[in-house]
Amino acid sequence: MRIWVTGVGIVSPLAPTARATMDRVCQGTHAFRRVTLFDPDGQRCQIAAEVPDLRVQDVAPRNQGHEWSRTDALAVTAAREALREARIVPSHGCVDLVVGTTTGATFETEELLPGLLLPDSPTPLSRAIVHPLSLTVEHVASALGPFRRRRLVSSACSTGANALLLAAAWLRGGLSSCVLAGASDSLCRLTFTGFNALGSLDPSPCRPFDASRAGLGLGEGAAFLVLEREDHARNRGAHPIAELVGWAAGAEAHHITNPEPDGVVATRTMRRALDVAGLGPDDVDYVNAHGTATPLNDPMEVRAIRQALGSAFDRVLVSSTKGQLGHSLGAAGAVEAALTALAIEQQRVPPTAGLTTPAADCQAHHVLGSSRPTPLRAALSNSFGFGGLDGVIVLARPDFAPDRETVQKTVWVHGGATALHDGVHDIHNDRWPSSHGTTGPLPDDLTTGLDPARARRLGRAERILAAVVGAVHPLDDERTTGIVAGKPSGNPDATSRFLDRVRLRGPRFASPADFPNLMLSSLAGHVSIYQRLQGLALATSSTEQAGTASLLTACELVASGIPDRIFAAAVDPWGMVAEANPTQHTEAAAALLLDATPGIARLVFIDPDSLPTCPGPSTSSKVLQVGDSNVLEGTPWRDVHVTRAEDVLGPSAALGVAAVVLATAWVAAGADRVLVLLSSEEGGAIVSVDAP
Amino acid sequence: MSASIPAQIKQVIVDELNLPDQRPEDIDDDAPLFGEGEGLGLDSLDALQLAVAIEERFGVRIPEGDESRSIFRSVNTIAAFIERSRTPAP
Repeated sequence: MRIWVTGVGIVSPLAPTARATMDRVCQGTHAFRRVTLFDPDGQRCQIAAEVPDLRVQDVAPRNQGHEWSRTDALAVTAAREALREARIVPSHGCVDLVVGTTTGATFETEELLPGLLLPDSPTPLSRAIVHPLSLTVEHVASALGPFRRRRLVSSACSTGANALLLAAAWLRGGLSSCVLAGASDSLCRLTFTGFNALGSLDPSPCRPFDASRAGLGLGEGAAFLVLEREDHARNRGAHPIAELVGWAAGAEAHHITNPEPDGVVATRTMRRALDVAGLGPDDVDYVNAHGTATPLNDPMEVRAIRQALGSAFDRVLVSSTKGQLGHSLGAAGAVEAALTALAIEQQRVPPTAGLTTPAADCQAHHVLGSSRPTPLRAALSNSFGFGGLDGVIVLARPDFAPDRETVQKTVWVHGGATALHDGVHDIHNDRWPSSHGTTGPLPDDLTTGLDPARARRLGRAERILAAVVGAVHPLDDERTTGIVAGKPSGNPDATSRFLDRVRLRGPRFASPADFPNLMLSSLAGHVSIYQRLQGLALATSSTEQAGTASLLTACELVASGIPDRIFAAAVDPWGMVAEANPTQHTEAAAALLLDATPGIARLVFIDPDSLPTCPGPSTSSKVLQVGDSNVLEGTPWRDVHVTRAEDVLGPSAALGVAAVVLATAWVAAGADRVLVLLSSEEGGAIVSVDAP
Repeated sequence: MSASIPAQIKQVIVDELNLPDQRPEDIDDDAPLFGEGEGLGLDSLDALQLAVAIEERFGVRIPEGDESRSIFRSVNTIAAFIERSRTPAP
């Protein structure tokens, strides 16, 4: 099976459509100017690349403009263009959706902040400061759907690449025949002030790879790609722009802001992506680099490209389009993959704007000035995010790479643990609480086993999840282990503290060390660093069902042949959201180690509609229910006693993972099969946890 | 009576950089603060955080670039910079 790109859409600071953006990018035009979205006074850098003339209320459905964010409007505009070009109407088929974002509605939340902090404010701060990133997925789905499967992905600056990676996994794994996948991020005070505090921003237009480079320039935008099985596309007469042939992700497990200088994981991720494609360095003609123009990224990346491509390095063209468009953070990986697809279609390579004199440690076959027409067979698109979250996508001319089979691996549980009020329980624990799910925060002594020096930058959620992952079992072989980390929202407590300080004291006193922790994906970053997990690492989010989103994502990735063991992990941390409604909330965390090699229990997803014809239960079978679905009536399972997961584990957004940990414990204790009934964003899902 | 400037700096270091096991009085006034395996072994992100905290706490403006590197060498060099900044130029 081949994966065709049959549509692309881009909204960028240079143009409102994909091909117009590509034309401007190829001219070497840059979009930096003084920020107008908010007042940049008092900041060291005062420029950014803004998308001009975007009116949220013109994109949102009538009367819903006030509920939509700039990120939503960018996403829907780009996604609509991609669907239009691919001539796909989601309601006419089974189209799936992956949306990546890191800033979500942060810009809109900031607008509310001064009003919220008044003592007699009508809206409690805890309600409005929470910017559930999953809202962007819902808004894209409501404007352009219906979509069947839909998911949020967040991994800092590699978010866009990982959104495409998950879509590719769905297609390669046979779960999807057509996926709309991309990412969107709007500028906001939070990221602008945060990167300024880190000293990462160049006050002048940025110059990737240049000897005089002095930091990155922020941008904003969105890009979506329609990814489709070749046979599906052919059947409806669609044509390919390019083929998506390779993908890989890895975590550097090094530092929350600084890249590992030798580029070891960046190199390995490029090589793995080429392996997936069945291609080698000699097949590559172009690398669309992450190329942020920071002092640390660019030499690390050039070194990693050299290590990955070997003797082909001197021949392969390298450019960074961040010189033109700025760094749109979560959107960048999608924008750059879309531009790389167009580069292959148009057989021309965009230049790096701002680059005139490559630095001694950034020497490569750079493209200066304007675009270069050249035969392009295959190209890499690199993305490296905070926390060392790396993602690489490989695109190629259609039919250039070898055809690949669909991959459907069986997913096995190799270990698991969950944090409850009486401590961390692993799957071999036989003393689970029977029916007293307790609400409230977890005890402080849960994380006392962590090394205080190494854990000093971890927030509450990161500490708890690091402790739970660490309880699973020592990982002492050569296999790489990854993590999909789910959480109901970003970090509302820390975000409001950060923004409040900026408001009261001025941007000069913004906390540099707190800023990277405000991103949802710092959960995956910090836990991978603390537990030295170097496989794929990303975050997902869903207000009610973060655990289910994490479980499904990790299972789909393992089933599609991603070479790592992967932790499905979720945490629902205590904080001001919980304090506003303490009796409805249990602080909880769970982690489940999944792999494609035989382990303690096998996970099989069952379509709820097929349950009536499924084999019935034995005397040792059990049912564990998350949420309120009532799907057993009229099936052979109707008389089995149903245990509510909430009664044992307490009500939390991490239940999707915690319930499978408990189900695996029951299997380890002798049950032949436990059906776990999950509710998810897409509706009901059933996972059968089976003894080997 | 308020604590000496070096003592205040050490308290800021422990509080701002989340060094839970570090007692302020155990920090050597002349030991290097930054660099792997040296002194406190702080990194570049700590340096940024510390600069903001020192500016806020002591009302000084820390210059950018190489000059700041020499200021942040040790507790004593930070204290000397603060004293210098507070003394009006002759």
